[in-house]
Amino acid sequence: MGNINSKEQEDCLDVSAMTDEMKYIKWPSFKAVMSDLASVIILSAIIVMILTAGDSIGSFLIGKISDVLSTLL
Amino acid sequence: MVNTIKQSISVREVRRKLELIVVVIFLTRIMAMIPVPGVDSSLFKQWVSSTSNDALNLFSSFTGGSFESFSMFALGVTPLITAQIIVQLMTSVIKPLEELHKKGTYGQKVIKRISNIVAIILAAIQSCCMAIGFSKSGYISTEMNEIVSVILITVFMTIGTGITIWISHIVTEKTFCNGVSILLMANIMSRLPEQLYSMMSEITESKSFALKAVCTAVTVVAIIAIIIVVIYMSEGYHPLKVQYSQKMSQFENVSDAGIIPIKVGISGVMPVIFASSLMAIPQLVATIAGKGYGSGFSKIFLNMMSQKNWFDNENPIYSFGLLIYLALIIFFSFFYLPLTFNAAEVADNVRQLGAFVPGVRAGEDTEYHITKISRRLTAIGVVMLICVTVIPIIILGSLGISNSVSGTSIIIVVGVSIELVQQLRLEAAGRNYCGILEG
Repeated sequence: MGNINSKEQEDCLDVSAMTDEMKYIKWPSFKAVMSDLASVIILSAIIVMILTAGDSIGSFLIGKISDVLSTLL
Repeated sequence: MVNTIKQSISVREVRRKLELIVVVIFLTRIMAMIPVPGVDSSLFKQWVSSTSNDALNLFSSFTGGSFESFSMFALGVTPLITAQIIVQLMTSVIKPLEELHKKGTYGQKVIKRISNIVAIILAAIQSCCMAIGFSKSGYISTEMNEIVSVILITVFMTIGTGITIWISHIVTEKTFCNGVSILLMANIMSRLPEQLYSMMSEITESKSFALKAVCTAVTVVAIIAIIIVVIYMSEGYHPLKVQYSQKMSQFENVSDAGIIPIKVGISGVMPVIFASSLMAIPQLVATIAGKGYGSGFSKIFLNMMSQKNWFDNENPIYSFGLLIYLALIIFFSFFYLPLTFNAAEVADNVRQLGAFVPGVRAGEDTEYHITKISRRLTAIGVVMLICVTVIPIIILGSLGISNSVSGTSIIIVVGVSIELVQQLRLEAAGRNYCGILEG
């Protein structure tokens, strides 16, 4: 009995798996993609600026600390 | 974007989260410069810059150059990524872990703790091997005894990795971003401008002005095309239709319908990160051991793992490496799917809301139906991911350019940036929605 049920269930699932509805994908509009592209470029520029600031401040701090340590030791 | 930032900054809570992300990105650069005490890494720096190796390039890129300066944060988040792969693989082999995985939030917390412990153990092993390998090769020098210096390097690098993991967890918990992704993106981006510049100069080297202009335009268009495909991948979704029962509906006699969006690129760029990390491990071990690529099978295998050899006309056998890379991307896309998208949980939520998927029975059938959809979407996502990963490798490889900028790096940066923008938009929209309700 259980087997018959599982077979029926499989058939039912196969039918549902074949529907066109499942294959449907909603892609973003061209305008949305362009807006995202601009966002990625702006965000990347901001992050690069933060990283550059971190680099210069970091090297300044590390230089100062090593100077202090070398005079102390 | 400007409006999104303005809206986000105006909300205190979102502003705090953004501030934390900025501070972490800023800190990663300072951290990358902190050296292991007592170690002179000038020789090591020279050796890294003279050694051109895919694994070293990738590792340097993932660690934001801290590996080159032999910083105490030189391992970055790579041990955590490796630990996550190991622990997730183990969940399908070890039963107690499998049971934990099914226990929902509590189980995920325990698995996260186990991953952290494994990451720390891996960091200790990795840093110890690096210390022994590089000091024996004479690339790092200290005034101390060799054993003491190995212990010192191991301890400091393990502490550094611990701090990095802790920071990544703080970002994940306190902001709307994945900490590992943010740290990886910051590290990659810190070297990206320099890498892009060197790639451009390599492409346009000894060419006429007109050819230079064409090459530059083609490269820019290729990069923009990659970004656009990644955007399509992360924003395309399948609207799964659900029907609410009349009891749950606003109107007594009419049942409401709604949708559950299931993304095309559910696993995001993680499969590429996992695949490239795994491909880099054998080369990295061989480099640290300082024995080169050896001979016979080991030489063939290690050359296969290197992207620059995939288009070597004299040794076509190395092209198998590309097939291994593709197979790994496909494997990790489906392997990572249940971790990012829990079909059982979605089916359960649908049931709890008193809804159902039209034409599908509630319970296990709905779960099976959602799983099948997510797998189909992942298959489409994998094809797109392979296109954006492999096409730059093929173009650069066939032009004979040693790709200092890998498609992997661009995908990670673009993928994480888009995720960040989307989350920012969601947060801003959510706050505005609350504002309207309050008003």
